[in-house]
Amino acid sequence: MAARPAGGRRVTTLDVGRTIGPAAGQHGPRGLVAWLTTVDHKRIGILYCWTAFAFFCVGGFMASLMRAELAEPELQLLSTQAYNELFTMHGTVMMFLFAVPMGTGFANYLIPLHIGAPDMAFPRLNALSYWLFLGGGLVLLSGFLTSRGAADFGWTGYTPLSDAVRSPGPGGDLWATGLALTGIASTMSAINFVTTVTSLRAPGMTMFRLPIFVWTMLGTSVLVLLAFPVITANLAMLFLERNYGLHFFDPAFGGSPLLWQHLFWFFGHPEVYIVVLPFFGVVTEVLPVFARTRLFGYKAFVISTMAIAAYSISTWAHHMFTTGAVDLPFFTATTLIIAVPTGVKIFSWLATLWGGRLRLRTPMLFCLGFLVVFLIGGLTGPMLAAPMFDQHVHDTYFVVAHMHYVLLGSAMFAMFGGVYFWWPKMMGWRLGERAGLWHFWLTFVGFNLTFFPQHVLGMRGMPRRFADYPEGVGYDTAHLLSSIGAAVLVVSVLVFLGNVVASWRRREPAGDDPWEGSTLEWATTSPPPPHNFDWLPPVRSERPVYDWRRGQESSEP
Amino acid sequence: MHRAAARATAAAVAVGLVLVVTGCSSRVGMPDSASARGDEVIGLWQVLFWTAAALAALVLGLLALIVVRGREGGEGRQSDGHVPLELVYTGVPLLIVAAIFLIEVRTRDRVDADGSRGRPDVVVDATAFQWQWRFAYEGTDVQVLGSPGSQPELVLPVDQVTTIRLHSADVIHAFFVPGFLSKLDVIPGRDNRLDVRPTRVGTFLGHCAEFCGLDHARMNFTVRVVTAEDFEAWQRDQQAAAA
Repeated sequence: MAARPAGGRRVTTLDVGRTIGPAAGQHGPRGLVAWLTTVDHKRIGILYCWTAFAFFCVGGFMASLMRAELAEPELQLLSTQAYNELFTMHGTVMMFLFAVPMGTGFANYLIPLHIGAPDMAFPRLNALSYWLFLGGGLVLLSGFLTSRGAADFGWTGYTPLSDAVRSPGPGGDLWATGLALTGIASTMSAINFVTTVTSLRAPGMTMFRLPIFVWTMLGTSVLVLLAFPVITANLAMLFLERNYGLHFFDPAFGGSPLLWQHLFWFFGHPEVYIVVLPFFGVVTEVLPVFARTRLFGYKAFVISTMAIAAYSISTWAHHMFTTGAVDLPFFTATTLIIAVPTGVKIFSWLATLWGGRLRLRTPMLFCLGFLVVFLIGGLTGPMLAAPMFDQHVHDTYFVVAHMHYVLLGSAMFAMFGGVYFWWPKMMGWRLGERAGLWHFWLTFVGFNLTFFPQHVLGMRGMPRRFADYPEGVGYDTAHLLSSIGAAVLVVSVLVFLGNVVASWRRREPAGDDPWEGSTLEWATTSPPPPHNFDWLPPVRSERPVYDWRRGQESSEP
Repeated sequence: MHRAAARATAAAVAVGLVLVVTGCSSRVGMPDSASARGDEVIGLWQVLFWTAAALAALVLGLLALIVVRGREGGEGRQSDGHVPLELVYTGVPLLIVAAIFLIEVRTRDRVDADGSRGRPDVVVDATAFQWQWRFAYEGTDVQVLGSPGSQPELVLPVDQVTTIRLHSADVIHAFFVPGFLSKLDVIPGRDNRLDVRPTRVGTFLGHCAEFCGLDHARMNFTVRVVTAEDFEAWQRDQQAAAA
């Protein structure tokens, strides 16, 4: 990569978004003000990632309080009210303020770099998205500062429990308002991503040469555009019902409590894929680089991504199998079918690794860990699609285990995989490898110790959202194991933070392309200049930097 | 170090699987069934579990092989795909989920047929409210009401079909008896019915399974399944006490 400009393409024209804002110029504000006023996609991406990670720590802190309470029967640490607020806010924070924005953060940073563009299509809209997300998150959490506490009706907000009679106080209103704000932020981001991908690709970057991460974000963005308006409407109705005496959901006035559930899950199931698809993308970028192979079945992977996105809007009522009010065979069939494109992905990853020359560095370990936990979560999914089985384990810890394997398994393992992988590009220095190993193994062991016993707990009948449970009916041991696992997970996050601090002190220069990557971000400097690229290699496949490196090697004497 | 750790992980997964399977006998983690429907659910669960276990063994086995065999250094295989193989790993999962669909539908048909043969022997109106249950037996004055100090007890005759009509006085609750391996939501403005045929005498724990507010976790109840004679005697005693 030494002799760059020969044969490559110099970026000479000014593209959309290039010169806007202080981050792009040399004369703008510096330091904190530069970060607060930035419209540069890389800075916004980093802000998104760190903010989402802070919310991950907040949500994780709530989870560790709950696990401490549940380690033994009886109430020791929390009141019932506090427990109810904690699990409500834990779910809401993790879904809306961590998992979705973390994907958005990666996408903000990576999409323009991946497609060879200088910035997003709408840089100011991008900044607005971030600030709405942060504001919405703080509005949501501010419920804890009110005298009646935060929302306490579960992150699913089922009516009529969430109405003003059963859940009075501003906590519920702040919950609905905060969620609506973050939803609008996500919608704006999705518009930005779709526009950027469709109109700012570098010459030669055809759709079927896009990095898979960009494809998964495209699928995600389409789902966001379909699903978030529905939840926003639902939240608006709840707000009107709580504050202005309207009755959408109250059966005493001719409303329907199930209307909320239908609209919530019509958003909620696509939401699951809005969370996981970007992380599928992250894993698909990391695996071939560390196995020294090419992605096996690129088109099958793209088609399966789009198939998942398409099917995910027709499966929502499998969350309602115990209501006695939905057509069971239809939703069983649509839910089972979605296992097929998901299976295609797993086999595609395996075939990519097959015959590889594996370099088991920290990013690779986290992505292999993702494969194991996502496989387990992926296998309990079709079980829950069978109503006869679901009607036993619905609303029990089996479902808690399933969703943590699928959602936290994706979001946490693939997030850390992506963080270790792109950190050198974002910061210009590496994270420590030894501490990374400790971090991975603690995460892997802690995660499985926390969530695997919860399958058994659920099958035995332990319902979710219980502040306390009866002693001696078979729930005690699994709860204790789960709480020990949660403690290990807390330690793993502390190891990560320690690694960040220790590596920052060393600031060992990473170089432009520390992993011998394939995609365009590895062709520019670490960190990239404000306009991203001074130079681009020709794009002839989905691996332009790999092709360029091979070309350089073969032309040397 | 990684390869040793990967082997240790694979061994731990295998040992864990064996423990789950042998530790819980043929029910593989499920509670001992106490209803006709529960027997069917456990039969379905065995199909689901062993299918998943076989797939997990296949994928984790391949993954372990890749990690143990993969040597570092140089280039790996540079294949961009193989359409026949891709069709196989699309088609085979499709067949598997189609089979699961058919097995599930047939299981549910058998359970529905069992519940709906003729008139139910006993009809109970179960009313859920924040945070207790009331069980009223149709055609009698017998009524059981829980209080914060004592869990309400639902008494049912063994080997007879009881229809439980579920009513809510406020928010959504769910009637869940783990020993019967089924649950149904209790939704205001909607009359859900649950048919149950207990298959053995005993006492079973019941929960409210849909989060319903502050004391959700304390909305437990007991189900006592007794013989037909004991059930009639119990009803006579309750009737006399009520009068």
